[in-house]
Amino acid sequence: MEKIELINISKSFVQNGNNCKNEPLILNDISLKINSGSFVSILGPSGCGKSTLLNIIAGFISPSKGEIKFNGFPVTAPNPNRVVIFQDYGLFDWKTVQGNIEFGLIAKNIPKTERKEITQYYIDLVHLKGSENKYPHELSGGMKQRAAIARALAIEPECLLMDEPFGALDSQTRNILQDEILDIWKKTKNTIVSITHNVDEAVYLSDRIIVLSNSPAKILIDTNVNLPRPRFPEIRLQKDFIEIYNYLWQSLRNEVMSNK
Amino acid sequence: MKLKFNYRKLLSIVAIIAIWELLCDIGYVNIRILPSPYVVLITLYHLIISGSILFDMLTSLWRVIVGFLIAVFLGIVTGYFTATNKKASDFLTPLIEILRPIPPVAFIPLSILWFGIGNAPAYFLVAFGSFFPIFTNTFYGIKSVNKIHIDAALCLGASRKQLVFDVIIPAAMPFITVGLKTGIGVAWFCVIAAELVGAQSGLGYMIQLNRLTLQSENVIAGMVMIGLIGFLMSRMMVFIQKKLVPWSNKTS
Repeated sequence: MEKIELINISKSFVQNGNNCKNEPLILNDISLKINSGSFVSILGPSGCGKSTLLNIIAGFISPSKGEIKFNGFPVTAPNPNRVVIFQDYGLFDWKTVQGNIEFGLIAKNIPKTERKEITQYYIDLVHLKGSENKYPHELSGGMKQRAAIARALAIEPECLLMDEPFGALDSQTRNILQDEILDIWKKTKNTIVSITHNVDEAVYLSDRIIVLSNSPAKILIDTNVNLPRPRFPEIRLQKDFIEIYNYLWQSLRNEVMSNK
Repeated sequence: MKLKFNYRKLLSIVAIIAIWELLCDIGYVNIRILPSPYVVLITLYHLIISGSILFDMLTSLWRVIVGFLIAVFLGIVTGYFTATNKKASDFLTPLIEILRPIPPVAFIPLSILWFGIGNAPAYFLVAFGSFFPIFTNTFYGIKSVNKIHIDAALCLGASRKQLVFDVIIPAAMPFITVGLKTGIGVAWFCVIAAELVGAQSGLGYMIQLNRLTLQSENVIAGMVMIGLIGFLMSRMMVFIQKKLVPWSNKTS
């Protein structure tokens, strides 16, 4: 079943303003169907418009042309059934970990005692036990992203939209969080769309990978990753992994180089 | 942890008081216009014991509190709307900008004409003076709210109320508290200035009255009280700031 459907999406830089004819195109006629419960990564060179695409799916901005549907209904605004995980976490600095996670639950009018239970469950799930009452500035980057993931999951969204979620983390923390997000996804079964420029991460996590071209971005490659699950770090040494990695890296490399 | 006090910080104050006392003792100055620190201290003691200065103090404090709260309300509300709404900004900003350069004390003659003598002109001046720092800081605080926080709140399903009171206002709070701190200083300044001419009670009135009766020891005692309370109010604002912005108390 399709969760997200993009139909001929184009986006130019100036949003419904100044009737300038030569607005630079960022996204060029992108059509895509994303199945419910799948883990899809969108790969592309830096500055190609990957994040713009995610912002359109989230409902933060609207496309200049084309249509976007979620569960068959047009997307017009952000909605808690699609929660975004930001590269810079987007945690509320003025709230503790607990307060951050409760934010979305308060929006859903969930009573206080139930809220505490749910919050505790997700704090445990992301291994943040003991940090409930800490403010974001007291947490490491990895812990911040864990808190942001817990905050997103707590409202049980159908879809997680991740914008370079591990981009600001060191490579060790990054690897650990990759495994954790796979573990969590196995339990929650959300649809996940992840934006990344990291080929290894895309192959390791995804069912399917979309490669975008340089700006104006169009779809270059749309391929399934037929590696077995559950995945574990050693899979990176297997022939199938390396093959698909090389295939994607070659085409991405060409894009990056041709931009120079 | 042991609190260590740096005695060097007291040095300049002790020195100036000593020189002052010395000048009075050797008869170098006219003690009718500049009584010695010792006399001032004794006078202050008697004024406190008799309760008269406490009454003036409470009167001034009350005026500051009323005027300041009006300014807090108006400053934050107009700051919020001018920062978030283009029409409100176009409507209000020019008015605020032409009023801002007029020093609050320049409103004293008019405010006495409008409100007579008493509490009302003081409320008005305090509110007018402390409005600007609160307004300006709220405005910039709200303008500088990180878009990622708005986006995060929206995709978590935030209601309008949550967005304003749980995201935008707290995000701007570090700026707003700076405005409150500056504002309370201006407020104290304004109330004393207003009482010098527009009131028949309060610390400002008290020092003015004692000038007329040539009791300069009372004038200086009143000034000491004014300084002390101003100092305590700014310390209190630091405390309030820590309560309102607990997340920026970076430990370590």
